[in-house]
Amino acid sequence: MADAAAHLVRGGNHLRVSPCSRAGGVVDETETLRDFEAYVAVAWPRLLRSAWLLTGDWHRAEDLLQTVLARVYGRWPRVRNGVPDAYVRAMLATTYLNWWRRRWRAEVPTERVPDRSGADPHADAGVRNVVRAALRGLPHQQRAVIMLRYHADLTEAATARTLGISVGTVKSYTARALAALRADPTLQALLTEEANR
Amino acid sequence: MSHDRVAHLLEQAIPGIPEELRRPPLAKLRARARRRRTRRNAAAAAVVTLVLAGPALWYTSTLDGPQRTAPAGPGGPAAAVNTGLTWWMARVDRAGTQVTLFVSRPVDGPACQGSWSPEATFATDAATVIVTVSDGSVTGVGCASDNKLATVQITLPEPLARRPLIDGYDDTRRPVYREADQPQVPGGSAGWSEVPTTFSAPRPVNAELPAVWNVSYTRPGGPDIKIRGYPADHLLAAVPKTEPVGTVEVAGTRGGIYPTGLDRYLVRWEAPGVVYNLTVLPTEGAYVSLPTFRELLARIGVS
Repeated sequence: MADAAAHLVRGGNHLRVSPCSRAGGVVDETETLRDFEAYVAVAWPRLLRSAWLLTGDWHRAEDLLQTVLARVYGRWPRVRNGVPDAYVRAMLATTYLNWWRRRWRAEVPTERVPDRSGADPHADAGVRNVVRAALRGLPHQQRAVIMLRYHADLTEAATARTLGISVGTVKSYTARALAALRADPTLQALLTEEANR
Repeated sequence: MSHDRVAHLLEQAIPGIPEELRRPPLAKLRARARRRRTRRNAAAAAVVTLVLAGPALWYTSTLDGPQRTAPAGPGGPAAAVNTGLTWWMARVDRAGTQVTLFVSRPVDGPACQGSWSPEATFATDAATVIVTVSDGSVTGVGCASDNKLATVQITLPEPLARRPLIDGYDDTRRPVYREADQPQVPGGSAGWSEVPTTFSAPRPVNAELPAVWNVSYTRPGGPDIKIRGYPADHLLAAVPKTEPVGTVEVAGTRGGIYPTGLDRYLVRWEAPGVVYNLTVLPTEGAYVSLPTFRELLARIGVS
């Protein structure tokens, strides 16, 4: 390695990257990949759940998350120094809205494939189904706002910055989405029942 | 409703993650990231080339007398990768010049953006024909709305004959189902009519590649005739394990008649790169004995 570098210098081409620094680059790249994959291995289930909140379908959620993570990989050295989960969830929301505008609106599903869920023995089926139904009824922007505010735990200002809308719009979307949840009579009954337990 | 209460409700609403999605698809992610980087680099290179070559091209075009025309032929593999379309198999008409391609986006292609308008270009030489499909829509990366393979037709200046057809997307030979290798099923009032077949596009979750050919002919009162074609290396292209009960000639090739169950027979024959099976489907409750099967074969020129 040292010989090769010396040869380059002797050749007088000081602008070329020496083999030493190129090897260093390879090591960095491998480390970045390893670090990124270690993060994905741990964060995958929670990020996939966030994606499901947007899409309401596991396979679309997986597709959405894969697309976002492939983009995040290129920015990983910068992203890992911040709060990666928040960053990925913000990208999930913006990519989801872009897809909805450009891709899913053009696709006409011929048949609805039921979501096959894994075992979920501890979940409260009543609340789960009602909230799920209420989520399905929300417009896409409101779903994105709800996911960012309550699942990614972003502030109103951060949600507004992420989606490129005003804080007032975030407040209004949040209020409307919550009103839709509250308005559901089954959910209301279930919540009252739970509160009285 | 408090912030925590809403967060809790949302958590409750999310179903359990299906078993097959619990582990991150790291290999797929790596491949996607790599493709993304390649595309970005290619785009950057194209911009640099345009910036550097643009003025020169403009200069030479203003000097030339005769009008320049764009080169004919395919965009080549790189162009196809950019437009993200591939084709899986081809049907060639009896004359050998009309080629129907069955097209979709590749399984791991870029994200779909709107509707599409698939089109094809080709380049021929004495040994091969390379066909490249691309999307002529505004976005250039559209897709079908019904998840079916689209058909695109090209007309070759001379018959394909035994030349292989190559997909410019990945420079790979695709199965070619030539009508000339199949029996000519008579049409008209006493004959059969072809039942149009639609083929499903491959999905990432069901990545069986659509390379198996299927054509059926029907007539009132039956029986129907079904021809299936397989790439020669397909599992179902293997010779049946039962002993043949006779031989026939199909479109100039020797084929065998094999029993496949009680009063069921198939004819199997081979053509370059592909294997065909022909079966007949009697009306419900009826059966086809070997003499009847042979008689029927004779009506479509197989004897």
